[in-house]
Amino acid sequence: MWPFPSELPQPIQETATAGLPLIALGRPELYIHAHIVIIRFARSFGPHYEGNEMRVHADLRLKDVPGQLVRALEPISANDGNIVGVVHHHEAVTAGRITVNVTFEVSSQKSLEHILDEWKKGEVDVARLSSMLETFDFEYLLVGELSPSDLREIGEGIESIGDLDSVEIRYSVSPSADEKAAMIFGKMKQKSGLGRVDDFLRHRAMQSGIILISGLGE
Amino acid sequence: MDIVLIGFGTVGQGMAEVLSRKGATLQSSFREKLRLVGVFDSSSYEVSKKGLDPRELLTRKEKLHRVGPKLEGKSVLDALKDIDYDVMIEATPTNIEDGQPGLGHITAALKAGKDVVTSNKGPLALKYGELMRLAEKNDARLRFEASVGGATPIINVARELLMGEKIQSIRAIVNGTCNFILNRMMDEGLPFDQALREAQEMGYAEKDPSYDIDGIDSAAKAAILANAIFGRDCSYNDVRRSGIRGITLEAISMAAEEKKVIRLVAEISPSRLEVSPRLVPVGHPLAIGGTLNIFQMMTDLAGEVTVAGRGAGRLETASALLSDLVALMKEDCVVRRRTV
Repeated sequence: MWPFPSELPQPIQETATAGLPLIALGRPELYIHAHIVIIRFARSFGPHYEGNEMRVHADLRLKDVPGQLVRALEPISANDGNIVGVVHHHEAVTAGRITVNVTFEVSSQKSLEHILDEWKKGEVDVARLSSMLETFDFEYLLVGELSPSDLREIGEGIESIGDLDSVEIRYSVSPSADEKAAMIFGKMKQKSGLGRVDDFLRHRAMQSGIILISGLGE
Repeated sequence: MDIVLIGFGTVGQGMAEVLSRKGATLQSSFREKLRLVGVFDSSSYEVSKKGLDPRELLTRKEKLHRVGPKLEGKSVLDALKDIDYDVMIEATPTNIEDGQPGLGHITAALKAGKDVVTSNKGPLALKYGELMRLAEKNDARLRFEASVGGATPIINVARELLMGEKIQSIRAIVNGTCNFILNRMMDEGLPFDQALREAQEMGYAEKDPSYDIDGIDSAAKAAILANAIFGRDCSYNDVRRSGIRGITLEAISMAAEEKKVIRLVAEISPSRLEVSPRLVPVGHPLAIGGTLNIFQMMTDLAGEVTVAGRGAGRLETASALLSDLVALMKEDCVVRRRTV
C-alpha cells in the first residue's frame, strides 16, 4: 500500500523543510516541497534485473602485442553482447599496456558476469567498469477532480502493470483550486510497458472524467 | 483555364483578390488565360463567359452584400449545369456533420470531369476515399492544400517534394486558436475562460468555440493528412480526439515547473491518429507561440522536416488555393508540350 495521506494536508505546514522527506515508510517516500506533494517509488537494480538491455562502459588495459584486442572483444560477442564502440589509446602505454575503452550492450547481468570471467581468464585487465540499464521514460499530467485516494489507486495501478522501474507522482495541495493537477513521471524496464501504462491511464481518465496530457515520448 | 468560384466569404474574397493581383503574371508564365466565369455566394451568383473582373465583384459584395442576381430558389448545382468551366474552386465553410454543401459541389464537379481545388475540410474529412475514387473514375483532379495549415504548405510538400521519402509520422499544431489560448494562459496567467474571451474578441475564435477548443477542427485536419499522406481511408470520426477545454492554470504552471508547455497536438502515423493536449518541452519546435501552425514530419532519409507558417486568414488560405491552381496549370502546360 502506498503511504498516501487519507486527505490533502490543509493548511500546508509552513515548517516543512523543502525537499526533505516528511514521511519515509521504506518505499515509496512522501515529500512535501512548498505546495507540491511528491510520492516516489523506485526499485533497485540488481542481478534479478533480467530482460532489458544493459549498456556497459569498460576501460581495459591490454598488452601491447598483436591479437590482444581480439581476445578482449571475443567474449563480448560470445555472450550475445553488442559492441557499440571501441576507442584505442595507442599513445598511452603504461607498463607495456595500452588502454582501450569499450562500450557494449548485454541483455543480462549473467552475460556480463560471463564476460568478466573470460576477461579474467584471458588476463585482460579491467581498469574501470560502469553500467547503465536502459529504461523507457513516460510522463503524464492529469487534470480534474483528483483526490489522494484516486492518486493512490493510479499509482498502484501503474505498479501492478509490471516492468516498472520507478514512478513519481507530484500533485499540488493548494486549497484554492477546485480541480487538481498531478504530474506522473516514470521509467519502464521494457518499451512494451509504455503502451500498457498509456492504456491504463487512458482508461482511468475516461472513467473518471479527468484530462490526460501525455508527454511527446521522446 | 475557366474557373468557377463557389463561396464568397473570407476565403472566396481572398481568392478573388489573389486572382486580381496574380492573374496577369500567371497568364504570361503559363501562356494560358485565367478567366473567372462564375461566382457564387450563399444567396446570389454571377456568370460571364468572357470572364468576371474580381475587383468589381469585391466592390459589389462590399456594397450590396451579394455578388450578383439572387439565386431565387435555384440551387448552386442547377446553376452550375449552365456554366462551362474547367476548374471549380470550392471555398464554402466547413460542415463537419455531413460535409454539405461543399460535398455536393465537389461531387458534381468531379462527376462532370472538372478539376477541383478546395479549402473546405468537411468533404475531405468525411468522404476522402469516395471523392478520390470519383476523381480517378472521371479523370479529374482534386487538390486541397488549403484545407490544412492555411498558408503553410504540408500536403504538397509531403506528397510531391518529399515523394521519395517514407514519412513515418507527423506531429502538428493545426489550430491557431488553441495555441493562442494556451499561450495567453502561460504568458499572462489568464484563466482558460478569460483567454478564450480574448481570443473571441480578437476574432480568432467563434462565438461557439467548440469547433476549435474541443479539437474538432484539428481532428478534421488530422483525418485529411492521414488520408492524403499515409494513404489511409479514414474519416474525421476515426480520430481519437480530446480538446483543451478544462485545462487549468494549475496544470499550465505544473507543466512550466518541468520546463514544458501544453499544446494541442495532432499525431498522425500509420498506427496512430489522435488529437490531444500534450506536454511539449520548452524550445521544442512544437512549443511554437502565437497563432502559427507547425508540422513536424519524421522521414526515413531526411530525418525531421519541419514546416511552420500562418494557419489561417484571408490571403493566407487563398495563397494555398493559388498554389494548387498553379500546380494544375503546370501539369496542363507539361501535357500540352508533350502533345505538340
